[in-house]
Amino acid sequence: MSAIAIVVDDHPMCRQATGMALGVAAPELTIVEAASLAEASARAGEAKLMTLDLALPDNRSVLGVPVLLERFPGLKLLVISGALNPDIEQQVAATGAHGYLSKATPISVMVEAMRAVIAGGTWFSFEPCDAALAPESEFARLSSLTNAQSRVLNAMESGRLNKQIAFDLGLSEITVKAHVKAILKKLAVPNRTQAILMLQRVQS
Amino acid sequence: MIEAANHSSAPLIDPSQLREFADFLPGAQVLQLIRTFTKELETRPSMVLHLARQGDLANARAAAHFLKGAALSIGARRIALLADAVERADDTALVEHAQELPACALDTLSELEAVQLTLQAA
Repeated sequence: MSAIAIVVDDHPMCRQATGMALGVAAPELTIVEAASLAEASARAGEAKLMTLDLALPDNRSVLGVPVLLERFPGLKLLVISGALNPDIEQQVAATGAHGYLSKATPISVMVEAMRAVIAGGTWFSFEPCDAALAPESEFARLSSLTNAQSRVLNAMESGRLNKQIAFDLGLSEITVKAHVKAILKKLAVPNRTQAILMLQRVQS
Repeated sequence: MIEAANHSSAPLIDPSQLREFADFLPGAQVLQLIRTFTKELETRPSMVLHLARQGDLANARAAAHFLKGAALSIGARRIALLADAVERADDTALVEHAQELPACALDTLSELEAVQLTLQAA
């Protein structure tokens, strides 16, 4: 069975363009397309490379990256994003991803970046050691949440009540309440509305 | 990286990005990409405007985001920046930005055809 590379993007044309670049960069890899993080996670354990868009139906920010890398520590992850926010690359580098490209990157550079990441290198427009974030930044605070706390916060953003979150995540309501309390403390916000607004600011 | 700037001064198509596709990929694949983007331009901008006028701003923003990703991938800079402006606009300005999309799509389609002819001639 040949090694695979997973192209994760919810837009078929973006998957097509990235897949074509991958076909040039690493013709030995079989390309698997995924339109969501959940779909990609199902095959991530066997992938040599994953290219990941940051705006997916089930993951709308860089906060999904550390969760993915913790679950699949051997995965090489190249983020390819349409975000025009100039801070986004630094945020991606701080998550432990192996590289970052804008969707507007010319195919020649995309091919070079893919080869570098597959070979075990990184691809950023700056030295990754410069990527440390100010600990008080909203992104740093959100990144400090555990995976379970991140899942609860995402559920809060969808407008779910503690009882509903508990049911969705298979937790007790008391555990969800404890997570919410810990989330508010880590984010240094007084209530869940402020926590959700912080998440939305970082995702925008 | 493309800076989030005034979209009206951005080129409709960055010919170098499209030329690179032609240099790296078989002609059939380049044509396939152009065809897919053409379909995107024919449908998505009017969809964004329709949703915005209906007051379905969340889905209008989501559709604008879709358009932006595809446009960036092929080097259609002006409409990518305009779609980004729609995506980021506050609720009061969203319809105003969205109204510019269909005309920009038509201009982009004409430019895409012209660039395509140049590439075929080269």
